Amino acid sequence: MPGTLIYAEVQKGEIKKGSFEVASKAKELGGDVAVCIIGKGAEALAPQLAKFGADKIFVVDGPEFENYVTEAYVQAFAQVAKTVNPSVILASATAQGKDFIPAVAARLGVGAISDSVDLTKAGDKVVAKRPVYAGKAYAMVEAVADPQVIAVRPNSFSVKEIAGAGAVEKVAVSLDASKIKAVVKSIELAQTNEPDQTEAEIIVSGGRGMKGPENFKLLEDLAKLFGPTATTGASRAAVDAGWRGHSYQVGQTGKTVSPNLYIACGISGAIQHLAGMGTSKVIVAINKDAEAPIFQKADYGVVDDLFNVVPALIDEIKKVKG
Amino acid sequence: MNTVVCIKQVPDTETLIKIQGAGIVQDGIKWVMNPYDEFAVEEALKKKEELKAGEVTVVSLGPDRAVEAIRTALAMGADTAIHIADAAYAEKADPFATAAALAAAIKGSGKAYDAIFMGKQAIDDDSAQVPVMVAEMLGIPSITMVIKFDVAADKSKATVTREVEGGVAVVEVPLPAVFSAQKGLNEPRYASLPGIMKAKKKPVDVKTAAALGVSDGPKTVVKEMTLPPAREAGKKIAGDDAAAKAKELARILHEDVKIV
Amino acid sequence: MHGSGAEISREVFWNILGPGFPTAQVVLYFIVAGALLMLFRGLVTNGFFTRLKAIWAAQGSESDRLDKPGERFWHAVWDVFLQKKILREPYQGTFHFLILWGFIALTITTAVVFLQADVIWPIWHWWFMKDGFYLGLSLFADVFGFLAIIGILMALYRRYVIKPVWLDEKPEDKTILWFILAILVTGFIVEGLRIQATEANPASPMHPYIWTSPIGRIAGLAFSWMNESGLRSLHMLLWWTHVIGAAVFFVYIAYSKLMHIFLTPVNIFLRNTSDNPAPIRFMPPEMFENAETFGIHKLEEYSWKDLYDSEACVRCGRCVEVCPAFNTDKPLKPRDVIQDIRNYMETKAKFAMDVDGNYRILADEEYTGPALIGDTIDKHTIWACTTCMACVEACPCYITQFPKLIDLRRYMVMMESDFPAEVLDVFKGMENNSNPWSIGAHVRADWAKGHNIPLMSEKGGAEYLFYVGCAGSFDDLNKKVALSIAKLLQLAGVDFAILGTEEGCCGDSAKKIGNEYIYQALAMANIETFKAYGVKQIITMCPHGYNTLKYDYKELGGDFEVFHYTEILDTLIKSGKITLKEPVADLGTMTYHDSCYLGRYNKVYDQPRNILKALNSGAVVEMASNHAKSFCCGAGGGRMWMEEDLGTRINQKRTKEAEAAGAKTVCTACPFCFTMLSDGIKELELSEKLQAFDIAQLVAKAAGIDLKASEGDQEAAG
Repeated sequence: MPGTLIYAEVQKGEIKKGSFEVASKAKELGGDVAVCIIGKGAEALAPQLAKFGADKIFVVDGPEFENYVTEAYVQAFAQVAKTVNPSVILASATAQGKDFIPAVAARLGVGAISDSVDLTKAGDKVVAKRPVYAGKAYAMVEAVADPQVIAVRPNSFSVKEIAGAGAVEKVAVSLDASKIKAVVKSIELAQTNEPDQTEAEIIVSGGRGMKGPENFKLLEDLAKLFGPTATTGASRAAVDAGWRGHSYQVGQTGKTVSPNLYIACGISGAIQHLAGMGTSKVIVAINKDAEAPIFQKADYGVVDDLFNVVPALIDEIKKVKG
Repeated sequence: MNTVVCIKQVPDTETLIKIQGAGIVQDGIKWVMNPYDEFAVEEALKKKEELKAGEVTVVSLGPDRAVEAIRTALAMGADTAIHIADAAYAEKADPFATAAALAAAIKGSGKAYDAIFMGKQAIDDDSAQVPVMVAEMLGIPSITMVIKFDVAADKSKATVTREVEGGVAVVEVPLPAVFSAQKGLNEPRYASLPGIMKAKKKPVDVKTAAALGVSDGPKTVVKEMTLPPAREAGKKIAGDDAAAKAKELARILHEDVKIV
Repeated sequence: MHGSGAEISREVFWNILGPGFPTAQVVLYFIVAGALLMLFRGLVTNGFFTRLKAIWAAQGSESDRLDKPGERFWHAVWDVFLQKKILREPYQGTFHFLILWGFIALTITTAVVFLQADVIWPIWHWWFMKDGFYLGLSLFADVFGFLAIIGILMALYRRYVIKPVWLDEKPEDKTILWFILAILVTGFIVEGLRIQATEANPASPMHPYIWTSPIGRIAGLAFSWMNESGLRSLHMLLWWTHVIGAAVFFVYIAYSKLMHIFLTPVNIFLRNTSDNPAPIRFMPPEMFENAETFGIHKLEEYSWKDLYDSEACVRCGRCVEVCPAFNTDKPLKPRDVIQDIRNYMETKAKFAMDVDGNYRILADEEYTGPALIGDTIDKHTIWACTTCMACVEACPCYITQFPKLIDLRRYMVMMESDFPAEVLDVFKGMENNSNPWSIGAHVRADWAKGHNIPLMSEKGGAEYLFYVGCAGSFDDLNKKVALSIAKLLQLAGVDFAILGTEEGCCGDSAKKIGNEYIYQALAMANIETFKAYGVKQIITMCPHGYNTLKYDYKELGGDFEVFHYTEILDTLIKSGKITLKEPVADLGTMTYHDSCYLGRYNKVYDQPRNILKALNSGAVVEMASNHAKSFCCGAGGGRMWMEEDLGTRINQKRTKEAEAAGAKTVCTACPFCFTMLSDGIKELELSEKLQAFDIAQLVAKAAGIDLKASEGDQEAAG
């Protein structure tokens, strides 16, 4: 019976959380859930998927899958897809997923729906809700024909433990090597845990209220607590004062960022700054000046001295995290 | 080096988006070239200048107004353009249909190309599918999220740096191939006034989808558009002192925002 | 010699011409003739004629510089002889005035003596240089000669002791002063020796009048110990020294900045007489259809007047003294820009002259010498200018310095796309959203929402258009100012309306950054909108918009009567249409910061100050630089949108001035100034001591206006 085929992504020897999210969501939507996991060492990881809704797990493992190469992965997945003949194909819209999903769809001769934030079932169709125009609107999109290929933005669904049958089957795929043209020469993963401001999901930013370069340590400490997707930023005033390098500058003349969380510390919110971070999903402002324009843009405002608030916040978050 | 650059005309990021049925109200929108496509155009121009030879062809699908974006690319320095000026097709086109039209136009032009550049995504539907799909349809490799592009002197292959999760990967690929441009690849030039004036005289080959032989409709359909719920007015966190406010903020970040 | 028998007079060529030396007069003629020849030779060898050829070859468009000749002539005469503009600086002005008038007086005296001794007496044997006239002439020459010495000493004191940083120093500067001093002193000694040898004798009929040459008499007394032959010998020696010295000085004119004696008055005659005190070269809109190059990147693209300006420059440095860029350690000295152009005329001529000495216009490919942009005038210099007009205002030679830089910016921006990286977004913002912040054009009138502020589109027309401008429309700080003005106009019952989202950016920043193409597109759109509503009178909030709408739009066919809001508020307060109910609390001592575009550009100095006084809320003091010498906030000329990464910050310097003036409140009437000074206060952490307000906010407060939105009127506007 036609069901859902999930692409499970392997990164650094682990299955991505997003893959579990879509697997459990697929199970929730109903029908058989098959998962295709590709990667060197995938076999050992495959059983984990059973807990999260996978009825059938196809494993594509081998040294040729050490690094993600679009063509190789697409060939392998397409072969599995042909056998499964699913009505829906889902994947997490990670950096890799964004590259992989449209290629798979085109290979199968169907369309794809990118970066969905919600899925609902309407008869045979899965309707995907996805932000368009930089989040200024949402589109409800559905595919015309099966398989309906949909990528889902990470963190859209929580990972739920729903047991699936969990039968693991190792698949031997035949790759047409002549078509695999791209060669990964090297991969350099950032040594620092700080991502670039433009990609960071969380940015802790400081402005004139920081009073000096030495105080940015405070913001770095806070950012570290949020994990590897967090980094620090600075307003033009702080950069002009020489407290932070230009690469940290957020604003019209610096970087335009759109993180999930932007914490503005001691930033008044000059228009140039707002132009660079106004699309952040959640904005927190900490400033002792209650009239600071940043509060008009902030979802949450703390009117107090940042030198009291931030250390206390660090302690509180440590408590929450246990 | 001969290159093709696929561009799209999109609403300016700041434009007010109003919903009408399954689409948006077109009146009052300021249309611009997709910002990521500017990186693509720039890279094509840079390679042409670097190798001191070649032609840059711009291809775009869109209604008549899309020619303005094409002129912008020509003003930056592109040589010729193909405009798939088909409002009806363009309006309904999903990424698949768009890619099909672009691929057909590239094939149909008979132009030899070493590389196809595009922005990593268009900032209207943010799908980020077209570059990969065009590559699939043309049967050539695609490399997405490129932030550095080097081409071998004999134009046989390119060595590119692309963004991957948590870092970068260096990939070598034989040409021709499709490359999608990420911010950081270059700094797009500002068209000079002589460039703008010359662009008015550069050839734009106008085609319809039917003439290109693409008739398949879109593979995905937008059923409905909605506006996101209005942003709630900013909430000032109350508390007796800084510590209390910090505690409440930590709670909000944990329970409401769900980030901690 | 004179033999006229006149007793109350003197013998010309006393002790010079005589049996011992019958040909002295002839020798003198030779000296004068030689000096004239040397003067001409000087003009050739020092490149003056070469530069004239470059000026002649200049192709840039120029306004009519010979219209209203009478007015031009009398203005020049007035300004030269009364030294009006020079005297704006009391010290420099005074010494220049003294030297000039010493020079004039002694030239007159010498001419009279020449006429008497060499023309009238030999031909008609008529001696008029006698009695009262002679005594008066003696006194006249002595007094002015003495004043000139004082002037020279003051100038020397400045060169050697005061040494202002903005004064540049070439060898000629001190040479000229010492030279003039030597001529004056020897002149007095020669006179003194003659007096001592002749009039000091009680038998001389001149003896009773000996003190009509007071300085000469004193000089003579210094030699009273000498016997007559000693006096005569020394007299003869010094006389020839004096005469030859004067002749050499005459020649030296051609080799030095003394040329300004002739060149600068001409420049005053040729001065800009348009209403716009600092016009930027007009680019007709058709240019964008058919021209091949825009702006200036080579010498000949300047106009003859631009190049002539550099001939008139005396390097006095007043433009440097007042330049905000120079005063904050940026690489811009307006004087040096002008001097660089002057020197470049000769450099370029080396490449551009053919064997016959004809100046040819070279194609870019043909020319291999240093470039105008970059090699001659540094790019940092070009971008440092805030177009504050302080240089133009200060220049006693009527040179327009900074517009020459805008021409260069135009070339860099429109031809080469060469501009500070951060400006790219400004241009895009203006193109796509008609504002430099690139905020969505649809929110332009959001500040007015809920305040019942009439829209042109609803009203169809109004007596006044309130043109808000981008800052008042988009910048949070300045939105409050826009609202204050609108509410005050409402209160006073003024028939006005705003354009709402139909309003567009005025284009000033684009124009001053050098992007005339965008400027004209923005301006044309606005003009069309204004005309569609039959707008005749406009009130602007921003002095930049004010100036642009008033002067620049006229060039594009938009002729409107434009007011700055301070002009309107001043009138409304005076006429009682706005009643200031009570003083505004906590303002303390106030000071007003003149916006360049309001003050220097448009002479609106008094209205804002009138308003401050009318507030009756505290003492009003002036900052060290005020009115025409006011110091820029740093935001003009598109600098608002550029990083200020060279030197120190202009806004901070100005903020410190406000603090130093003892003010608690610094008041502005320009959104750029308001932003820059507010930032300056924050940057310098002066919030405890100093606050910034726009005047409109204060008037609104004093008039009891509540800026909070009226209830139930949320959708009325915008």
